[in-house]
Amino acid sequence: MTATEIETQHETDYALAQKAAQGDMGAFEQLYQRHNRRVYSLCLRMTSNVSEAEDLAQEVFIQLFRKIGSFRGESAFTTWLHRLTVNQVLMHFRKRGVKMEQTTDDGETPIQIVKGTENPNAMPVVDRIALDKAIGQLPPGYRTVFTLHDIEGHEHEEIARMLGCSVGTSKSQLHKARMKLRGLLRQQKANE
Amino acid sequence: MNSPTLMKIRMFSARFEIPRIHPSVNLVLFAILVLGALGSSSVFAQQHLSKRYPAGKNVRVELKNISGTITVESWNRDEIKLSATLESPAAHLSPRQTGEALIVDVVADNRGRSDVGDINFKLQVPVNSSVDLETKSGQITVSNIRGELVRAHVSLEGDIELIGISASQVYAQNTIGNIFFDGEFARGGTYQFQSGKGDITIRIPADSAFKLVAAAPNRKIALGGFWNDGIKSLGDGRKFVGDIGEGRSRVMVTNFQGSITFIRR
Amino acid sequence: MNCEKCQDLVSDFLDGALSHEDQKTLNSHLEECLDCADVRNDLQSIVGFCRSNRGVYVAPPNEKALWLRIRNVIEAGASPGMLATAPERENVERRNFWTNWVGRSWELSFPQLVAAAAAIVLVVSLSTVVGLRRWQSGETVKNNNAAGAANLSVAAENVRSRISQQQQLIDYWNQRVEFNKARWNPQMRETFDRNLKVIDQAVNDSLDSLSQNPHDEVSEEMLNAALNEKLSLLKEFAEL
Repeated sequence: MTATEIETQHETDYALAQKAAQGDMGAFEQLYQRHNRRVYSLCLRMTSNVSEAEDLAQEVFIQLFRKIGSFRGESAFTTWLHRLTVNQVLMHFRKRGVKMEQTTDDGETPIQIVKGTENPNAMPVVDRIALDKAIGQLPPGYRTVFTLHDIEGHEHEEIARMLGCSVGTSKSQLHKARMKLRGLLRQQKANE
Repeated sequence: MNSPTLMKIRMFSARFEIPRIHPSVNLVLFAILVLGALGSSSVFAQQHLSKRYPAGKNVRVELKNISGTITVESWNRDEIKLSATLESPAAHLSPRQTGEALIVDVVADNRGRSDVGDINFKLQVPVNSSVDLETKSGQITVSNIRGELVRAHVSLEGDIELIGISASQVYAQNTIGNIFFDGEFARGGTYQFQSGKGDITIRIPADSAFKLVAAAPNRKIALGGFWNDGIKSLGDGRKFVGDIGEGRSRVMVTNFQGSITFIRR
Repeated sequence: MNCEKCQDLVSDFLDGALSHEDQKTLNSHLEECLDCADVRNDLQSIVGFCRSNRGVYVAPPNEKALWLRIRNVIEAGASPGMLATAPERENVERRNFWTNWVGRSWELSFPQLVAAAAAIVLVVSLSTVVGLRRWQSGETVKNNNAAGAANLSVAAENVRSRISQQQQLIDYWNQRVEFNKARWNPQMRETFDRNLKVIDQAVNDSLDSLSQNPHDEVSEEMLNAALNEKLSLLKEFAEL
């Protein structure tokens, strides 16, 4: 590792962002190295599609470069980048005509109330692979809310703002997403 | 599949049995002969298909072919004419129109089929159409289109010719084959050309203005009249990066084994 | 409380958003109703797993290639002053230094050659003749300064690890293509093989030039582009 590399490791995101805003590609590359996994993971979880996620991550960093001058350091860089990423994915959904009706108050599909379990205690131990697979089978609207709340740890108020829906909708979508995931995980177990 | 054999037998029997049978039977035999011939031709020759679709001024055509040529040209009508010649074994073809888009997906329509003959497409579209064309192999020719997007993607081999194009997004990519672009770059547009092995030629007006990234490992990059001192040569001439004029359009050209040539029109 | 109401409240319960009253009613129902208790347990394990895995991220299939693509787009859209990237500036400076001291012909070090050769052997069974020849010529210039050498071997190591990462993906998709290939018509098989050779040639050319100079960004970029191209071709034809 060179002296410059060691030095830049201790630089804050804000300092790197300022340098990048001046056109320092080295600083921007540092930011990319620090955050690309986080951005890609979020894209992947929201789309459940490797190549779409890669394209989106690429677009996020291009947008980041264009907008980096407007980052003033009031919030954490990660929060700012996170919001940029979510917006990018949502915009992609809209462009692609992905129906997000699951995130509106209208036409919600009722949850089936669980009565008399067919295979008692069949809920498998949750693991990354099974969960990712099940998340991939969720409708985009459910997947978005579940990813933002349970995986990324956002509050309903924030999610409602990002998605332009009510807090109540965000809550009910989350619950439905969890119930649907439960069903999918049980199904996976039954098919094994 | 066995109709030629059948036909020969019928001809043979017809020739030798006619003197001994009633004229009406003759007629029946003749009919069989004709039908047999027709039947055999439908199995062995090409099938043609032609259909017109109503279209607004700004339509989008998405075509995914497996193998065969694709030719797109503009015409002066607010409709799309799709003509296709299907080689046997003929592929399934079910074009669908949704809103402003005509979608033809030969790949999806024939998934699971092991052997599908070439389809040669010809599309006539309104001049402002966007065209998104893909094929595994075969030539793509697009001429006189002024829509938002022109995309020609040949996964394997086939030349790509884009002539008289004025679109804000142009993507052309193949593995083996030449790429020829003759058109103009719109302000703010994006233009990407990539080939594995073939020559990329870009013919544009002399006053074109754009930001360029061009890479060819064999150093065969000729910017001709578009060269200026502000263009940086990286890796000893394997990559050129820089501005030509004041334009905001972005042009990216990559050729793994072939050449990149810019020509002033 | 009935099951419907109970299951409606479970999520709020797990998120700590229930009033004390509701929580009490819910708990008493859960004690009696095994089905609803199952739902609670299942959701709890899903939510618990997610919470405990927060901050665990997956890397994009090829981090470096993605970066190069991003940089390409940015470079094409950036103002002229922004075009010289830091590593490129370093390269220019280093080149000047060596032009002055040892001439332009060799910038190789012994460890650099070893690492680069290892990268090649690992990825494609490229003929070792080339590597050996480079190795031998490297002996004459191995007295480079130590810092430079370490830096170069890091670069070679990065290339190596990236390629092996990409190679695993390529192997996976290649297997799927091979599995399906028998179904294609002979003409398609032939065309596919012929085209894949062109991409492989591009990969090998870039590797060859990286073995001479692991810091060569253009070769690295071409290598990444070629590997990506190969991967997307394989993916596409695995579905055919």
